Amino acid sequence: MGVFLALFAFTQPPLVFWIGNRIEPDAGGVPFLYVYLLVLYVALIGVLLWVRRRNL
Amino acid sequence: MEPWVVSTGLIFVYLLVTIVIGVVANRRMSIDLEDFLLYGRKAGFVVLYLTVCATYHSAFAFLGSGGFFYTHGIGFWAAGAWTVLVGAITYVLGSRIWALGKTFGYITPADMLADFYESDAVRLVTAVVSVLFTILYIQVQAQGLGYILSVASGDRISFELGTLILLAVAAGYLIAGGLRAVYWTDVVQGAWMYLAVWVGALVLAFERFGGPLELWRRVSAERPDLLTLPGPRGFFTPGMWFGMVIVLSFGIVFQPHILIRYYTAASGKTIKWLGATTPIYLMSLYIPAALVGLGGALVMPDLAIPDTVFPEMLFAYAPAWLTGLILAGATAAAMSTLDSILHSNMTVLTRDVYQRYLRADASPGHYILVGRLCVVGLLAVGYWLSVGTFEFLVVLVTLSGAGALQLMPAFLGVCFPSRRLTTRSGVLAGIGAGLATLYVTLVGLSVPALGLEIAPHPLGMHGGVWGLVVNFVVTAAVSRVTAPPAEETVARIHGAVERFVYEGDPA
Repeated sequence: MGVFLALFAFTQPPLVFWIGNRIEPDAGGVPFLYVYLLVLYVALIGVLLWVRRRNL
Repeated sequence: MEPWVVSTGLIFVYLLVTIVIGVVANRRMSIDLEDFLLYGRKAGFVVLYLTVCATYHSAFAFLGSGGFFYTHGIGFWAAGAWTVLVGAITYVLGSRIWALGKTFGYITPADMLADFYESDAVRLVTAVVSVLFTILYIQVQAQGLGYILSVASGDRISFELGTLILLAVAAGYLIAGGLRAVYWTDVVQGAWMYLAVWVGALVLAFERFGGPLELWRRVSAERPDLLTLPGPRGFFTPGMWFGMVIVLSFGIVFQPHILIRYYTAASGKTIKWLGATTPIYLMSLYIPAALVGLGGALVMPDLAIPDTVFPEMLFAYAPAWLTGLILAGATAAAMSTLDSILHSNMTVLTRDVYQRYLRADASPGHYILVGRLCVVGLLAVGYWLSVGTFEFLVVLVTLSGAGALQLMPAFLGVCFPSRRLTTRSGVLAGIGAGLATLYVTLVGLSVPALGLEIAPHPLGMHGGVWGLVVNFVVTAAVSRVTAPPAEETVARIHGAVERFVYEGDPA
């Protein structure tokens, strides 16, 4: 739960506005903000799957 | 063959598939209220996964979300956060709701709340909130459907007729086969709409731009204003970002058409797997939506109705057969949500109003007939609402979610045992205060005589969050000074929650 909430906080203001709110550097032409959030969303789903596998 | 014939024909092929499913479901149906309303509480993982995803993603997955990316830019990628949060809510809260439904035979959200808070008033308020705010959602889906069919047919089928046809088909298979028909059609709809959005977006990205990476590069070069917050019109302020995440996660979960699905799972394990995996579908559907919206902003910058960007791009750049398949997918998206809302409203009206207050001892067959008549009534109301107005789709969804969100403190009081108990007076006062605050902070308030002026979304924070904050404060304050539920009730229900959490599924 703590890991999930900590990661989730990076998808919310103020952190997403402070850290993610930019176009550069891009990833193969894909803007930073988009990739930043995509990585976080995938990580959050990973946490949910891990929790389920551990049967918590 | 004319493009409109292909597009319209494919949509009607899809409709035929849903009608056949409805007929088959009718043949498998037993005259049993739990079977008609709750699929006998036997929904396995695959069926439940696709019905939850198909129900959650509606016409706005095809229309509104593309329109939002088109108008406000990358800020709508906040959608990934609220879809992931839905998974976590399902895992933690949804599993407890399932366990209580299984233990005590609850059929509606109000069943649970009325049992714990020992209050018919709570039942009635929950039923009214459940139906009232999802009626708006029926309007949104119906309008989306009418638009899709009129566009696909090149206006040969009018918006009004298209709305009526699609509403009637959805109501028809629901009446025929109950929740079984809804779930089976959702399986088809969930798969079809997901493939349709991805295929459509990728075809457009390659046809028009040479691929998604090239599309992103062009957006960065030509419309960088679409790639940062708060977006070109300043919509995605921190308050709106956070507010939409809360409203469109918790708010959607507390709507009856999602919450009732938790009751239908075959096991607690099914619900937990649902929670862990549904975000994969829900979140990833917005990836192609971003391509469509942002790409559309480059090549069709002057659309009068931004929500039309996906179909307009398809008609301009995709072959007719593909456009037809994708528009059928859009139809599926809207119908999968619409049939679920019709079903949940039917369930609430039949169980919480008719069975409770008008005729308590009738046979299951009688209640099923009443439920079917409710669907006809809801169809009429939905049609009337949808041909009367035409609103921005995503904003309507938010209003709908924000209303149901006001049930959150009540549900948390049932599902999370605590020494400080929530009381029925607290819940009723909280819901009332929350809804009043929601109205004021979404619509605004001006009382010149008092020098009072409240703009919508005060201090940039979404009105739904204001309503929820006031709701929690009032609920807690009133609960501290009013009588809690009887000890036996608390022990029975909170005891069941704790047994589920620490020991596993109820027998």
